Amino acid sequence: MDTTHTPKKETTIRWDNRVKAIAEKLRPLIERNEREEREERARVLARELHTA
Amino acid sequence: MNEKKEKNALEFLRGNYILLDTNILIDGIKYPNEFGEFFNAVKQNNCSTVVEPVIEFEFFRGARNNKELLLFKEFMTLVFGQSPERVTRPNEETFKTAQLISAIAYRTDNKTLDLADCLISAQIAKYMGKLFLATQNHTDFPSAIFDRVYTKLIELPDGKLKTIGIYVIDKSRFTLLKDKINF
Repeated sequence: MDTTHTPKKETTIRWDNRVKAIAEKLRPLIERNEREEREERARVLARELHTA
Repeated sequence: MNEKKEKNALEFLRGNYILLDTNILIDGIKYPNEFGEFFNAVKQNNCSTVVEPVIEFEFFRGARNNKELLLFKEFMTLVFGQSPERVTRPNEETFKTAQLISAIAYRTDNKTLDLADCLISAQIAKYMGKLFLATQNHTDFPSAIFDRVYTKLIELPDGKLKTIGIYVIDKSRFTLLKDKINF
């Protein structure tokens, strides 16, 4: 990245239907990861409450 | 009409660069239409979206196997293109600046700035004045040096709200603190 030059037009974000189609496939994976993080937090809290 | 106002609101991005934090990419995937309005506004202002190794690391970490990793990579290539703008990979100088920013955060208003956010901050500092940060993390980047120059509220279909902030580092405050803090 060379900030002494104006950035090239083709390096701006693309957000079209092809991106949205991939996003559709990625969404369940992201939601699975978030759900597992929440479950892990709940398990840790439960353990802490048990030992308190 | 709203689109026109949005374009004007992001005029300051024209000819500059922006880093999209991991939380923006993740919510872009979860809410592509709602976040699409913001992404299109960035695009309309010919602002270059930059790939940063720490954000790539955080994003790709969500993949559990090679098949999933391919999907995450395909998304990044489609969004940022085959030859995206990249900041330099973190080196000794980046870590030094990250340590300085961590010290600034710790000595002012934030005791919890993690390594990833320190490194991202160091990249913003390196390209100061040209590189902006879009994030939904409004508590960790220390206000002693960061200014929020734009705020966008996004309403989701279930009524919940998301807030995108665009941040820059203030050069005079950063320089002042850099001169005062020694390791």
